[in-house]
Amino acid sequence: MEQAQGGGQGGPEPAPDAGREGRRRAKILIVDDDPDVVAATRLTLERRGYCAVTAANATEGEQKLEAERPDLILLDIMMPTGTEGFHFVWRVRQHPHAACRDIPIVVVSAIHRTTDLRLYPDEADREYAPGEFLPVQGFLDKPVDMGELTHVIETLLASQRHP
Amino acid sequence: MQSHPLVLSELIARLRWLVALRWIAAVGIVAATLIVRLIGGISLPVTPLLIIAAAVAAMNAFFWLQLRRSGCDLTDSRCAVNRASAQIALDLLLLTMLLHFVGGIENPFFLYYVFHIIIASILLSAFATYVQVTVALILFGGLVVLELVGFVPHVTIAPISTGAYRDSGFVLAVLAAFGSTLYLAAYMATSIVGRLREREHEVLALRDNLQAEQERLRLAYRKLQETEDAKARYMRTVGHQLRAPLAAVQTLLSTSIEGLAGPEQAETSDLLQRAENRTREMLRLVDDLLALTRLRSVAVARVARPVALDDIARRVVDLFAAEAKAKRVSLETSLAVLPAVQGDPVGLDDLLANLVSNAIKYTPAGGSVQFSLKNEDDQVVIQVADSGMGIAPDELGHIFDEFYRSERARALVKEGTGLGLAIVRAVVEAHEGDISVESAPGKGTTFTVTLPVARKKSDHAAEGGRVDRLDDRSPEHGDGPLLRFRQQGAKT
Repeated sequence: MEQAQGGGQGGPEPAPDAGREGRRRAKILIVDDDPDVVAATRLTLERRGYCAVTAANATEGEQKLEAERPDLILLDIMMPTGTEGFHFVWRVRQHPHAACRDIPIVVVSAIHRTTDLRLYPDEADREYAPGEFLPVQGFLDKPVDMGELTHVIETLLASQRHP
Repeated sequence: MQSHPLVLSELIARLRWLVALRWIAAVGIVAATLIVRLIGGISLPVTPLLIIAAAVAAMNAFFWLQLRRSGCDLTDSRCAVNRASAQIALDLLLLTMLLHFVGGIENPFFLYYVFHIIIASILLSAFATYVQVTVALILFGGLVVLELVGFVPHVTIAPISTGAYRDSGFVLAVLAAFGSTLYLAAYMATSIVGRLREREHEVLALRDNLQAEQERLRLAYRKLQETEDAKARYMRTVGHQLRAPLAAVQTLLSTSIEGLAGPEQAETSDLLQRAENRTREMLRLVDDLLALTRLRSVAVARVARPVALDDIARRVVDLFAAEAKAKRVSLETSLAVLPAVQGDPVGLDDLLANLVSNAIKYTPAGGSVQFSLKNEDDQVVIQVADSGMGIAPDELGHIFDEFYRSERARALVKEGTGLGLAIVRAVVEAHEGDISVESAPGKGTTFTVTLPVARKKSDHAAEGGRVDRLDDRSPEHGDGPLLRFRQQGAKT
């Protein structure tokens, strides 16, 4: 599988050289129960020089988090039970290791509206105080626009490197 | 005969009325006696008359108590009717005794028997009325005949006494007139009352039917509500189920296209691009249908919360700024700081996004879109004006219909679900607002939406909201009561 790095191959626009080194090293954890979305996203990320690891559910996600220590997590919030994603976020934020605690999380969701509403957990999820904001760094709608995804990832990684 | 509860209560009311009349009669007898005796100076057997008045009063007191004790418990009209019969018969007896003491056949007040016959025809059946007439005849006739033959001493009242009571010819004539009058009066009164009763029964039957119909309608209405809810739930589920795989397909397609770089793959790339476009179209359709379904099934009162419209407006502008720029359409905004509106944030977002999106879509390059938001009295005024292709008069009536896209719109912009304005209308209605359109072909379009700032909270928020929605779509309301269409003169 070729990694589309240069413009000549019709792939995504190359980033300035200075960032490429950092990008190639960045590891992104994709947590999503839809194998097709995982396949496509992984391909997209790898084309852009990222290293991708995947998990099909929250439990596997936590395992991979510990094992792989990714730099960023792409999380699908609508995993089987509907609140699995929320719980995952809260568990990450309460992780014993500081490094894990501060990992930027971008939520990718099939709820098709970008509104403030989505920052409120489901009414059925009584564990969270209503209106409490989910401590994630970004929200993206499915189907994800790859350009937007790349932009969000790069911004977050950059801010991690230079807080 | 079955007694309709209304007929029964009417009967008891009449009995009470009869008792009340009798009080007046007792007082009347006393008063008349005293007036005639003291003021008129006419010699009268006062004592017997007063005793009779007392008897009337005593009898009435008994009837009165009887009514009070068990008046409300009467479930059978026959009991009430029997009481009435008894009372009337006793009245006739007392009247006869009274008449004896004031001169018998010589006193023209024997005409008072007619009152009792009229009362009888109101309260009793026709047959019972005739029976009472016969009783009256027997009583009065009996008295008069007995006085005639001397069995009963005549009471002479000076001014009216002519001695005619001893004239059998006269007595016969009077009795004949008396009897025929009473029977004829009974006949007429019972005929009229009989017809009235028929009508009354018809009316009551109609009323009962009406109530039954109302109950049936209420049930049907409730069923309709439930069906609508089930339909909306179903659509929502289907929508969500469709969305996920569609989104996945689109991602897969766009990722594939990205990897097809070389010129030898141009053909495949083109085909996949077409597939991706269609998928995008399907996604938009599903999103619009979901939005519409959501608006139609969720009572806004339930999701209403204070919404910062100006924030939503700014977000919408940000969302479409790039598209406008790419099309070289200028997007100008005038967004005042607004007080919070009580409403549905998702719905209001849909409202603004659809209006702005349409404006940009149907405005050719070089045109402009003005988006303004301001506060006026008790309402928020949203206006989206464009210098685009405008709407023709024959199209204006349909633009808010589901899936409607005019020929001209289709010619200018190929894709579109036709649901955008249906969604806009649904949101406006949900917020009890108002929307109007001004447009002319080639001269641009202006949509003006007004929303009330303080929404009244209904007592039964959830249920009430739902019922209202169904009313809005009932036949009498036609296309929706909130829309006005004004033909526009000239607009720059």
